[in-house]
Amino acid sequence: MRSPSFSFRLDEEHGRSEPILLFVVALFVLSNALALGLARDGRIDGGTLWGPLAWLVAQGTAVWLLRRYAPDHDPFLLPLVGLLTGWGIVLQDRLAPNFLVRQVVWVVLGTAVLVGITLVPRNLRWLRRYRYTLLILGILLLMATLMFGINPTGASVARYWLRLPIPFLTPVYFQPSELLKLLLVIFLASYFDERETVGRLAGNGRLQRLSYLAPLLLMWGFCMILLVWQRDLGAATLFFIVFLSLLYLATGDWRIVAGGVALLLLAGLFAYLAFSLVTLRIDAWWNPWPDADADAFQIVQSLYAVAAGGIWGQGIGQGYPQYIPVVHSDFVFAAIAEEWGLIGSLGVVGCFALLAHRGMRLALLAERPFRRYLAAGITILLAAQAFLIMAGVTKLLPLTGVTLPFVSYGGSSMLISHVMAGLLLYLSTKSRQIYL
Amino acid sequence: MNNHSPQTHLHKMQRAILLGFLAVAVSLAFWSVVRSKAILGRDDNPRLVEAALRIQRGQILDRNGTVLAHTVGQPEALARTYPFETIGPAVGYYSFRHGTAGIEAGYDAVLRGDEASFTAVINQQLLHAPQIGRDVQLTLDAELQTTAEALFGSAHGAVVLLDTTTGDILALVSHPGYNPNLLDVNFDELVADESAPLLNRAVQGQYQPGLVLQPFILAAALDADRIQLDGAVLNANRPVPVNGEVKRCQTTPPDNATWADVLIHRCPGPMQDLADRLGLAMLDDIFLRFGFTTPPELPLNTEVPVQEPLADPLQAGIGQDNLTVSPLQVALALASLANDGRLPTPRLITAVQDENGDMQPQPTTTSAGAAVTGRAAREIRQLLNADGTVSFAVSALSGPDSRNGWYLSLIPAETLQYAIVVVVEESDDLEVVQAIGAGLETAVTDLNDAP
Repeated sequence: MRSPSFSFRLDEEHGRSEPILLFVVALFVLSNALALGLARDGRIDGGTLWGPLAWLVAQGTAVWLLRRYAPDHDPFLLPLVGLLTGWGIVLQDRLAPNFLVRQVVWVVLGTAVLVGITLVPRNLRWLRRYRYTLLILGILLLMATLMFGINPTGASVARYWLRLPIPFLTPVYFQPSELLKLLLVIFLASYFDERETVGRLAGNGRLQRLSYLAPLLLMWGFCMILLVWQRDLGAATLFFIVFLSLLYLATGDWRIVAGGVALLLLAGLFAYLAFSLVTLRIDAWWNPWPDADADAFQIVQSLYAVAAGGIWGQGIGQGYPQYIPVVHSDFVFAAIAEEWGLIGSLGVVGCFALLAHRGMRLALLAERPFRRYLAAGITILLAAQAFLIMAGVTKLLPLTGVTLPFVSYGGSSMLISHVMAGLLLYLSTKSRQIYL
Repeated sequence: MNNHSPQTHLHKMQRAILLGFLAVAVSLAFWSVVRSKAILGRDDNPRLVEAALRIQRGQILDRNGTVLAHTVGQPEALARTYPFETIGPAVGYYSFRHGTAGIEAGYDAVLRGDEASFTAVINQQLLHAPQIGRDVQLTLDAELQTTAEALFGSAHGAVVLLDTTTGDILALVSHPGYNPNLLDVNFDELVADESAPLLNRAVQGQYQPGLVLQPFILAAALDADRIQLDGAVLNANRPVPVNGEVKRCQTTPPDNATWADVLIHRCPGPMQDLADRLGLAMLDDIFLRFGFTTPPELPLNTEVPVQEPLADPLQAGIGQDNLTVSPLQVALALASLANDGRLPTPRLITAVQDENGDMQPQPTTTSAGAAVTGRAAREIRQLLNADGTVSFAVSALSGPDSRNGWYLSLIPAETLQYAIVVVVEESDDLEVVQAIGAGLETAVTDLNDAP
């Protein structure tokens, strides 16, 4: 029988598009790895290629498994994630080769988790059902960092990590705030879903609204207090943005957004006056140049890197991004801007914009509120995190120490980002198959 | 109602996200294109340092092609090396931390290769090939330079040896000097050192001329018909008070002394009479014509402090007024006596490598006009000729209990091709300065005799 439908042909096209995209992405990653080997050592050997090859095997396997067992999944998400992680691996080798092994292990592990989450059926049900348990578990883990927290670099500040007691392995560190981000999104999605299912927010009664918001504010407020206490301002800002966005989606009340933004500015002003760390960050942002060799060193070096990149970039391995402290983690975007130029950095922005577009599309297509909120929440979380660090690196906003999802070095962030991408892919297998 | 559907909110949210990313894109374009040049030029941009460290700086060669300065090592660890440790301030130094001096400073842009060819620029910009500098060939003679340097021993002072017709400088010594290879290690001590080893005394040293001025003033007076060499002078050997000391002729003149005797016996008394008659304006003009009041044009730092105008013709006539001179200025003035009264233009560079790697000779410039007529120059230098060499040594008071010994000579006697000026600081003993001068004369003669 001839296929009469227009969408079928589109489906067919999409059916082939994923391997083609992966092929293009793999070409990009591998040619960059080769170029790095040539630029750095003048030769290519196993040391240059094993990371990208391990990445390629993981990506290829993932595409094969998803196409076989979940043929309806969104064909753009995996190549996008693959491009970012592959690029990240090349960058790790370029910027901090001693962390390369860990990064590759986390990416491969993350990809496995992503495939697992996409393929395991009915995994959303228990997320929704045990939302309080999950969130409290996350909060407990975060509280544990207040007591047992360490910083893997040995620094006495920013002790956001827990050391996992895994025998026979090099120390593995975990950052509970990364997990908590996701758990908060799940909690909010589940909460709004329940409210929406049980009965729509009736009337405008103040009491009803309060009862509607009270448990929400309580849980969210608790998270915020913990994060501010821990001085993890990046995570706190993220929480705030995600919370506000989902609240807007649930209520459609723009006044909530306006009030929230006003509150955020007020909190920023208070923090500016009260915490020396925030004072430094904001001063360094507003006018970094007089302080270029001290407090504003990092942002000034970052701007130098972006400026040095110009339109075409210096070429991989041929710029000087190492002058930026912790360039392999928070400032990886500046390194991209220097060595791949405006073209490369806009490419990364484009990747995240496309990722956000596909994620929001899933929310639009979702048939049930939980799925809608979950897709929107995860998308906003990823997009906001990418936005915060990219805007920070280019002096658009004050710096908040968050990673660039999928690209920066950082195991917890890498794993949780893959979990989120896995959830999006899972949602895509359930959504109506209309490709727009 | 449609306005409040979840879809509407999602669409709005989607637009907000895209707007955020658009802002990032604009910010990126701003820093990487619009503001790029402006901020990359800031001093604290480490990329400037990295680029400078990668430059394969050109060589500095002496007139025979002997390497005076070159850059050696791998691209990641380039080192500027000076095979002659005592080559001195004329060549100068290149230090990443402390900048440049001497020819290294004067020809920095050439040595760095800043004005590279189109293909070289493409190579640098696109393929990150290191910038390759161009070579510079000097008029200096490494052998004469190191010989002259060694002659000083513990004395302080300077030597200039130049070609009287072309102005080519063969030796430009300032002593004490420094080892440019160890500049980074010793820099603080060199700066603090009271004997000022970093100062190039040959071009920047300001010395009291004393009777060094005598032949030039006499030549000018001769030209202006103010004196006759066989004209009698009164009381040639009378005492002249200078700075609380009493000076007389260096050697005793005959009783019926003439102006020629005044020069031969270096008598100060008649010089004061003459200067008094000439007046300050005429003296000023003479000093200007012999180049004593203008810094010579060289690719070296020849800047000196502004001098007070002449105050007392009696002191000015014996070189003890406000006029101070550098050894190079004296050497150029001396060369004019061998060169029909013409001051040569000093030259330190003979050739510069062009973009294709070929050495391009640098033109010699001729001097504008003559300081004195050829006749006056000839008559004066004939008077200075004793035992086959045109030379004379004088000491100048440079303050209470302080004198400089000067030695000037033109060799060889037949062609007068080279002018030598030696100054030794704080030296009462003219034999010291004469010994250095004689040593250098021997070295020049030996070099010219060699095949």
